[in-house]
Amino acid sequence: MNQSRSRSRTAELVEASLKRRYAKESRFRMMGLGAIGLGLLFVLILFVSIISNGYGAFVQTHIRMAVTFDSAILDPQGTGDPEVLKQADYRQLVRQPLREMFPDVKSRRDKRKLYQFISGGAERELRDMVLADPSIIGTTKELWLMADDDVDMVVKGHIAREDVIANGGEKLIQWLERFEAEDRVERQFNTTFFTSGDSREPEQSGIGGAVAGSFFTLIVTLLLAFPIGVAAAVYLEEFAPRNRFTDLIEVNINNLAAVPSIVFGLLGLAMFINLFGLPRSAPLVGGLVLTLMTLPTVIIAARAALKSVPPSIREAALGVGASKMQTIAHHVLPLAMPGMLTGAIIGMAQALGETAPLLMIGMVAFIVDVPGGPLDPSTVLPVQIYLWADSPERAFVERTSAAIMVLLAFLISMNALAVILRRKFERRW
Amino acid sequence: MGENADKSGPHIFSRFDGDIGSFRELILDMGQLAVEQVALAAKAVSECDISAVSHVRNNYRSVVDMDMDLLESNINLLAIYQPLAIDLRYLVMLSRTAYDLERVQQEALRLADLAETHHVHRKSASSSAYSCAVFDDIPYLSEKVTCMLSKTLEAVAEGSEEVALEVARRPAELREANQGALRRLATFIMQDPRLVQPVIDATVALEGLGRVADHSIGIARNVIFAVSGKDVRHLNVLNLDRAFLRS
Amino acid sequence: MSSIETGVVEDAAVAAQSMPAGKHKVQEDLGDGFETVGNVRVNDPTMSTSDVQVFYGDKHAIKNVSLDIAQNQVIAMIGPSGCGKSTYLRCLNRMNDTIDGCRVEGSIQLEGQDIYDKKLDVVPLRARVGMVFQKPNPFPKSIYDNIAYGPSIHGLAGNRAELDEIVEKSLQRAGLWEEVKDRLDAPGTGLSGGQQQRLCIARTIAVEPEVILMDEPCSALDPIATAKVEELIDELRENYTIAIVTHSMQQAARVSQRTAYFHLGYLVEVGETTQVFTNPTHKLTEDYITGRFG
Repeated sequence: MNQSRSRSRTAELVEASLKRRYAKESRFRMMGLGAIGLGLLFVLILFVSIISNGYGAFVQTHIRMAVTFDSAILDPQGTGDPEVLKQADYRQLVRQPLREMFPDVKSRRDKRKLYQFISGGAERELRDMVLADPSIIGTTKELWLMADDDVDMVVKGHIAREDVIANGGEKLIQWLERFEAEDRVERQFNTTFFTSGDSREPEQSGIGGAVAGSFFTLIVTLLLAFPIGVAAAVYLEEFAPRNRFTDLIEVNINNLAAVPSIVFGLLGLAMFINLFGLPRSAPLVGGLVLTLMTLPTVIIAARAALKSVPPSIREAALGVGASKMQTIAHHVLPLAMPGMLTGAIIGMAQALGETAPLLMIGMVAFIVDVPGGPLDPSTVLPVQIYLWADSPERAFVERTSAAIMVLLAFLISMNALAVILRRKFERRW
Repeated sequence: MGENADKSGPHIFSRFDGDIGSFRELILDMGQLAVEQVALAAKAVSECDISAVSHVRNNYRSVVDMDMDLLESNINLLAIYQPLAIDLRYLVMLSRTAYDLERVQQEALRLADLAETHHVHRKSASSSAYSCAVFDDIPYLSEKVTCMLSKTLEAVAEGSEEVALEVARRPAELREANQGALRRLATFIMQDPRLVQPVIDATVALEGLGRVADHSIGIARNVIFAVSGKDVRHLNVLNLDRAFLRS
Repeated sequence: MSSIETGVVEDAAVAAQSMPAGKHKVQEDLGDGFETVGNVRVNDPTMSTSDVQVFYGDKHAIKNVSLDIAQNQVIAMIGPSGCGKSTYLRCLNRMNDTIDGCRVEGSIQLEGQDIYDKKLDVVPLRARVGMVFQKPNPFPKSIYDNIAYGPSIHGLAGNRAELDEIVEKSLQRAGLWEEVKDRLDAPGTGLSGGQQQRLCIARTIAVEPEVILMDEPCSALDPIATAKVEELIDELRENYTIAIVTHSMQQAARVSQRTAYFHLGYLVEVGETTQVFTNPTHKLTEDYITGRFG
């Protein structure tokens, strides 16, 4: 009797407190959702601003001209010698059709302005065409030549035509409108952005060099950091005795993971470049510095992966007479590998976005050529972004944002790969 | 489990102690009834009391019920608790005791039948051809036998080896008394051959009582087995002593 | 190897045979000089241990245990939790080496060889003395690879055909061949619990051990799977020596020929299984078996 009375009393109390509990829970839930919403909002703002600034850089204004590969200019003696062809004045080939289109442009200043419609890179393009196929000498072709970056900006609308006219560029606008009326202006996909290295001229500049530099740097980092990190983790986890010394090592590794990356750059400068005399600005040195930086991350991730292998697997292996080395190599490592790979990929993604340490070892130089190997001087994508952000030309603004988009795309895909790998290999025992 | 229970202590799963206790109580009830039945039947024989016969027969019905309950309890205990060691021996001992008691009940029934035939014979024979004096030894012997049965049931109740040993040593004196009774019966016949019928009846009664005594000893030996783990059923009783049982 | 001093008890000879006087409290220490009741030694044992002590740091886990493991027989080790039976079992194939701070003293011999000899390589020892664990732990590989792993690292098979033969023979001996012969490439972890445990047993016998140690092999299995494993143990007895630790009294009774009762690190009693379970000599054994203390 008493028990049922106390039970109903308890039920009443529970009922009474329910309203308060649910209210607290819904408040908490709202806070959580609010935080997520706020975070998403900021990410959205970031992406929208970058994309809106950068998408324009993926197209480049080209102007259609009829170019005559005049043999008189290119190869007057008709030798067919590649040296001669290399040295020829291709600028004339570009200017010729312009003169023909606008015969009434007489004054030197006007002529110079007109010639500046076409980018200086067009000359090089024509030369490459001739060297690749000398048989085109003597022919006339309708070619799309790259427009100058100022023209590009006006066509894309970043510079208002009224402003150009107001600054005394009335004739430029007239010429442009003539080109447009004749359907000679088109915005084409900007392959130069992806293939060429840095340049003074925005329309000729691209991230190709930076991407190649990042690639070589990351390769060096991966090839060094992963094996060393895994081996260190295996030793610390499986073989090292548990004493104060190993505890000290563990504390230090955790601390190194938090050291500011520029410190590693200073170390690289002092040791790799000054002491060992390695070439400045080379991806090799950059890779070495980034290895030092990502090693703690890799070691910590690898150790966690090793710890997560259940002891029952080890016992089973030892039980059939496997030695400690065999147990680790045949059973523990394969099971820990997904976790290690995930850690390595995340470490690489971090390294990809690093700028400060690479600045210290000189990968901030103005490199025009796309590097061919880890010892060629180069720059990396984040540094390229930093350099472009400093440049005054209007066209570099959109190129900076475009380069940021490319970098973000790489980072997102690397992290996505890490997530997929982790999901795929989870819980196989 | 009586005296030994203190040495062993209660089970952690207390329901086991309760259930085995109930089973033991059931057997002791059966035993009590058996003692009464034997006494009653022997009285019926020696005093030629017909009402006692019908008492014995009526009581037998509850014996049947008890027997069925005992079997069920026995099987349930084995299935549920899977007893081992001393628990197992104790349970086996109790179920064998039930069997022995059932046999004792049968003997009591037979004695009752004998009392009835005795009555019929006496009625039909002439008074001189039938002497009730022939049955004079029966009360004394039945007293001894029922005493033995009670004592052995005490051994079961307490799980006591000592009491069981005491019972197991009694046959000697009982045998003497039995021999004496048979000799006296022989003299009756020698004196008057017409008394052969009552003498036969009395002999059969003595045999019956002897079997009850055997069952009592059997129960006692079961108790010894339960406590010590030694199967002493076929050993000479006089050689049994505690030292041997402890070895 | 260290040895203990035999404490002089007043009636030492009788003490080995008789019940100790007085009532025992549940977890009372038996004291030094305690001698095991029953026949510790057998003729021509496969493994023989004498005066084994095991320490986990300061904790004295196994106190002076001497016991022989007889050939082609199953010996069951029973006792309450923490009594040391698993610890003792793990000494027999030196699995205790993997535990930091574990120290083993005394003599443990396999076919007359001291297994704790510094010169002895522990790796082939573990092939001769195999172990099956409480929770089935097949490798996350195919069924074939599970069985083949042991023989391949020990070089027991010269070529693929020989390896196939070993795998088939082991699975047949473990009573698993018919059930898995069509799917040897399926992952070992995809089998049911009972099948996994039989797989682990097959894996153990693939390296042709002399002794198989089993640490509560059926505690994670359902009754049917348990019965199958017990049947398997009964069959394996013909070719192997088996030591099994179990919490189930009924299992120990069914499966073993000798039973050893451990209590607080001591080996209290050892004897023929039927005798231990119907009429044990030592009171502690009886109290444990009848459920009077745990």
